Amino acid sequence: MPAKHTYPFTRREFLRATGAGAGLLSLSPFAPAFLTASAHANVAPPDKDQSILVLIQLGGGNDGLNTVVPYQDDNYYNLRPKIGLKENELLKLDDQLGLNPGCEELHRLYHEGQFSIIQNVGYPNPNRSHFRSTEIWETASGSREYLSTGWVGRFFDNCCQGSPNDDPFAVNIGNELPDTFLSESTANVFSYFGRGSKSKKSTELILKSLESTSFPDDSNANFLKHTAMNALITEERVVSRIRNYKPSVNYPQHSLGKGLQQVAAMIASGQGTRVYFVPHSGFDTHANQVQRHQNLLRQLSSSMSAFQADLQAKKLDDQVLTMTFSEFGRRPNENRSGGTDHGTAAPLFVMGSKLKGSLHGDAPKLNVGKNKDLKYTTDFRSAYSTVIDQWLGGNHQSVLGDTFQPLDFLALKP
Amino acid sequence: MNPEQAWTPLPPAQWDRYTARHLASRIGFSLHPSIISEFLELGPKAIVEKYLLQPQQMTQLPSLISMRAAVKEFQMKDAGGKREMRKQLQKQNREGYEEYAVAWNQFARQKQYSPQEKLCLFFQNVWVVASQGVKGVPMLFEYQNKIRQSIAGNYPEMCKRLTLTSAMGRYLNLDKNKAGAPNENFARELFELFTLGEGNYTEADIKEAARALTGYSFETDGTVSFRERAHDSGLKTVFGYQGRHNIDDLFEIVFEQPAAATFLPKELLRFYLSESDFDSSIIEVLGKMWRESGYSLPFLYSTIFSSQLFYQEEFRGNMIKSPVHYFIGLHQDFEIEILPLPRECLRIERLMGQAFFNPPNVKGWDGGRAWINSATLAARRQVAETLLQDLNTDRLNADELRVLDQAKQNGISPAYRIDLDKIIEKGTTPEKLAEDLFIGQDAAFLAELNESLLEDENRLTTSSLRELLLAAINSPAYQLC
Repeated sequence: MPAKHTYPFTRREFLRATGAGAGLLSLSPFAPAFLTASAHANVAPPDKDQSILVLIQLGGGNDGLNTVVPYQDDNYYNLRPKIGLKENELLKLDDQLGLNPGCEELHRLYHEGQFSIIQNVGYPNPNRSHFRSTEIWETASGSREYLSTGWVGRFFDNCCQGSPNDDPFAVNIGNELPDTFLSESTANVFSYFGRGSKSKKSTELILKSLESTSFPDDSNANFLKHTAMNALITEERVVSRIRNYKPSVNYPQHSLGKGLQQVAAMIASGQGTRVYFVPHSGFDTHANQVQRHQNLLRQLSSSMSAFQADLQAKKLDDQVLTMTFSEFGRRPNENRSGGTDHGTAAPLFVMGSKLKGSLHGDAPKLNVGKNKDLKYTTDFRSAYSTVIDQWLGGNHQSVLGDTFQPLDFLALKP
Repeated sequence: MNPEQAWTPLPPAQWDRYTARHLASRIGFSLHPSIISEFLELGPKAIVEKYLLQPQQMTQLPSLISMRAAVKEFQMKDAGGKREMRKQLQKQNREGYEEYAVAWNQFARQKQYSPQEKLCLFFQNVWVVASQGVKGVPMLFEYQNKIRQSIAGNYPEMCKRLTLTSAMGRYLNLDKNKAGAPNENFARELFELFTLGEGNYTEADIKEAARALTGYSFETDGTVSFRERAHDSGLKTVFGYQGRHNIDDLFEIVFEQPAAATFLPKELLRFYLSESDFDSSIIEVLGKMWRESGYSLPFLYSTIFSSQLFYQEEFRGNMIKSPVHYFIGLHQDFEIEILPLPRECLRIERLMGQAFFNPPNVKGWDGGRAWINSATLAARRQVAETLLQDLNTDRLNADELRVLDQAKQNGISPAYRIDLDKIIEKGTTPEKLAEDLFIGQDAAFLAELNESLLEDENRLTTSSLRELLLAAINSPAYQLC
């Protein structure tokens, strides 16, 4: 029998296994990126109490005006004679605004101070293409600027280079890596999507055969090799964490609920990941939108509140901030199909135990003509700058490339 | 390479095993020796002629035929009857989707159809429709048929045909686009994703184009009709041209835009040759010739696949296989058939990130490195593991067993799993495996692994061959084409 090949699954195992000879192997092109990065930086292990950000993407363009409804504004009902939500259906926030009836749990959290709304968030010269606008939000670029890295990816480039971390910096739930995580360096980013039936033995064999190959740095082959090695090692650990997790509450059993439960499992295990990304899509409501939009918000509301309750029960809520975003809001006036076309600014949600204030930014002005769009009042990069500076402990100028006035929705500065 | 030289034909002396393998791996799914020897004989132009320009349709599927009948019945019913029937239709639709997905994979797996079906995938990824938005599988089937019917014609004609399908009408809300109540969804994607690309139109062009496209109705049975009264016959200005434009005028105007000449060639090159951007002068030369050919698709395929540029060393073996390429190619490489069960092919393609007729959004799949992450790699590995295990019929339900029984020919099941004994019998070496499986043909790591597996018995057992093949199929080398 060939000698049993055991690959180290954590940096600690790796260092133990290689002892004094660690330098040689860790500098060889065969070691996965995170191991080499670790070996270069001889610093303390990550703080398990560090702040964590969870991003929920409302894919397709969430209709902001039917999410946070200005029920006292006649303009709203004139713009939306058919799909406008009546005052008596709404979950009142104050004497001007009401939440969509699908948002019961979020409404409760709002009044408990664990959920805040940032109104009318957008950017100058808005683009109405799903892809381009998603790219703008995820790369935090200007409307006419094209960036190849995401804002979270740049945060890691700036703050976490060479920091020792066995765990992925960022985890995406689903099989499509978001632009948000793209970085200059080969950041250790992980997509979690179900699990295979693989045995530990074949994992080791494949790792061994991967180790023995070498390719030019920039080639797709080299990219494949490193992705495969990192993925296999990370997966072994994440799968067991998720499998062994006992949530304190019942999560809704659709993809967003399940995804947030998996995030909770990873957080509760003490995994060193700083940012999680969970997609929730279907918001591109061009036709017959009322029921569908409400269902999507109901899924959002029930899943977010389950997640928050679970974190609270495990006393992890102080550590986690959850934020939503969507590529754009929708046209203020309804179209003739009982839906809404692509628009511009929309509200953004934050949830957590360390919030300050409940309603931020100025409401949109609805005195707009037919087929005209809302003008944003808060730049989305101001929301990001708040999170980068005050929550993640970074420097927003270096991540965003410019200065954006932070907002005042966080109660504690690290 | 200068732009003029780029599109001149590859000198015949350079048509050899290496260039033939390059074309085979890009135009189809496999490097099987039988494919390479035929390609060597034919040469690029004859390959394009034989495999891309004589479109063959899939045969109609029983479940879709009965579903069409059910849809007709549904339309005759009153509101109450419709309510009752809706559940049944949804069930039929799901089953139809599964049958279609399996049947398509089987069709594309036959090597005489592989290049054509890969080209279909390309067009489906430009003119995206998704089953989740269309909600009627017969419409998807018709849509794909329309692509095949148009594949050897000119592009403007294809565009017009695909616009007027129930699948597209429903997917991008053309069915809601009426005089006085325009819906811009389709018009925007027509410019951004189908013909011109972002930055080559204004918001005003979209609004006006939407008006030109009003008046069509799209039935669930696939009928598309024009209703004068729903059409906005007023004056519109699109790209500076004013007139009472209708759909024909609109496409004429669109294909007069400079960007129209380069948009599709760029997409084709990105799909077939390289994800990195080409020098714009190279693209412009091709665009100019293509426009002069009357936007002829055969001209475009033939020029690209026989060009000197296409066979440049720098482009060889550095593209990442799509999940479908990986999945179908694996079956062709090992001469096995696709197991006609949705739980296998449909589910696994979804896990690998390419669900049948269900791209993540209207832009389609990004491809390239975006195919690969920890989750999709795990799924690729799962495919290899499954195909290297015996088929366990105990785990199948009665319906599945019946399907497998029907698939028998003369009482014998087709080979659905890789026959390790046969490979051992025929004898193989790491070098031969690398040659048949890898475009880069790098056998070194297989040889090394083979060594360690041989240690004991000095020959390969089925279990050590399984491990060797698993490592080969999971290697970076096998993900490339």
